[in-house]
Amino acid sequence: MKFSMDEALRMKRASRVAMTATPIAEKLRILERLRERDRAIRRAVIALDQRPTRDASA
Amino acid sequence: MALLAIFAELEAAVADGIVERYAVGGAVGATFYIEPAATQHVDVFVVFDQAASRLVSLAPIYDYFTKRGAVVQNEHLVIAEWPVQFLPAATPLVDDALVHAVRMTVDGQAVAVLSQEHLAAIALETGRMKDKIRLSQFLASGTFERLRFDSLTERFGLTEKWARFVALMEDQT
Repeated sequence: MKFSMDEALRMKRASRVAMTATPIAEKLRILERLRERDRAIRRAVIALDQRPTRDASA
Repeated sequence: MALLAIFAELEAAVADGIVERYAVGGAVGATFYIEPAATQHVDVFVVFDQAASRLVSLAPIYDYFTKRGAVVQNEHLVIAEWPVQFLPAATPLVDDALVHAVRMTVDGQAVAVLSQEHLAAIALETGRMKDKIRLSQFLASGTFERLRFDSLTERFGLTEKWARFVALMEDQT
């Protein structure tokens, strides 16, 4: 399998153009989903940080 | 959609005379023109009657929205589960952006949004990394009015910042 940076950039640009042209209501829904995903990740990270740690001296 | 509920609240604030004008900016405003970029809050620029005081106070806005169910959270008002930050028009550029805000309708809900050329100029003025990324996306959007943007950079003293941004982009390509 060959990797072409030019092709990757071309596809990225095409994807960006398509997303820009997406109806506003749909883009706002995507924005809400992105935020919800970020919040879920943050909640998971906080939960991990708050796990009781083992006391090495015990 | 929660954002539509926020837009409805903003329209109500204008109808009830709490703010003279408002427009959505930041990442949510940019989403009207370019691809969505994750954000945790909504930036709303406002103009309200300051004749009574030389000090800009957001208290009337906070009073109004808290009576309608919003909750104060640090510098934000949480409306429809989104933190909303109200920003007074603090610079001539933002003032001009509010004058030239664009009226849009999303799923039947009216909303005022900063024009993409003003959003781009504000991004240039603010100058954080995420603003530079957003500015490059505006420039590539295909609907961006470059002459209008150039006029804004000249009028609001941003030509040096623009030259630095162009040099940065040239270094990246």
